[in-house]
Amino acid sequence: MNDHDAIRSLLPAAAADLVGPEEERRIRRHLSQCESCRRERDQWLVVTDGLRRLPQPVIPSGLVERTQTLALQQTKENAAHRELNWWLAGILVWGWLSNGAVLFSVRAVLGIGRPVLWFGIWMVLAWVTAGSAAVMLGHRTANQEGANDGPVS
Amino acid sequence: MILTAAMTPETTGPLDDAVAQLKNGDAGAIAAILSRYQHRLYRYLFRIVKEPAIAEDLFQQTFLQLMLKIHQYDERRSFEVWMFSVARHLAIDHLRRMRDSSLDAPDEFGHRPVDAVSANAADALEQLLEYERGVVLAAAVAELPVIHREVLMLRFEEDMKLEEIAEIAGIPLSTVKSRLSRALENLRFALRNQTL
Repeated sequence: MNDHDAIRSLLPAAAADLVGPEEERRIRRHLSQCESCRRERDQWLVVTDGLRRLPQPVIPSGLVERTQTLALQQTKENAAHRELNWWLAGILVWGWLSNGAVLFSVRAVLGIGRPVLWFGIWMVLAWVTAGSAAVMLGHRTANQEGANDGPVS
Repeated sequence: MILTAAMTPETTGPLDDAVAQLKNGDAGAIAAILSRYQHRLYRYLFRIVKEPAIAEDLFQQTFLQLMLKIHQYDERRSFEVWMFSVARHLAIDHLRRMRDSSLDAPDEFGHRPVDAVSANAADALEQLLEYERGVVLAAAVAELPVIHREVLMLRFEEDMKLEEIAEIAGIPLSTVKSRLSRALENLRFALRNQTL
């Protein structure tokens, strides 16, 4: 490849400012002597200049407002979910502790043996209590979300 | 009118404050970010997916993702680059899902050439000619593969550095350079029978 061809192949890169200072000097030197490469370079500049000034798409009316509304709505929902998670964790712990405390007291007062049986009763009661509370909480939240849901358009 | 409106500079403001507020859970701060980047982000998404309705949907998703993932944003990096990379992921995911249909969809600018010319402009004809040149070029760009469209837009329309483009597209710097050169050559080839 002679210098002319080499410079010509560099012209698209030069139009996109991708060449280093040394190559740029080489290109400039060649362009000062070569009319056809100058024309070619000018064509490339028309393209790159045009790319900077393309017709602009129009942002749809109300898009920013809708996006903002959607973002705020999502923030609220996320906060509600976080709160719900804390409540569920609290209910679970409360179910275990309260049932354990009741059973421990009953056993201490009545002095009945069979620790495995008592442990089994404790487990069932704890899960039933925590599960019922979680279901009720879930229903309440679902109802609230249903009431808050609205189209964002 | 549309060109003038589209070229109105984005509202500048204390972006760092808005990002910090968003990171601290202040959802209201998204308004400042939206206000600053609305045109650029929508334009970028539109150039990639070529469908106004899809660009709109991706625009909304991008901001929701920004809010969800803001705690992952490293403040030593450019927020703009991070935001564009989030938008890019969503757009590319969409294109992968719709590969067989939307990639060949016709171009939609949503406005007429005559709208580009203000009624009392002294150089109305020149504006119209320039607009028509732009339409020809935009149509040629829209026909390029998405990886070429993307680097051209980030480089020339968003005026980004090569390093920033590499970060957004998740490719090495050398690939950005070769992709840009190849994209320009393809564009020139596509325009071979057109007069700009």
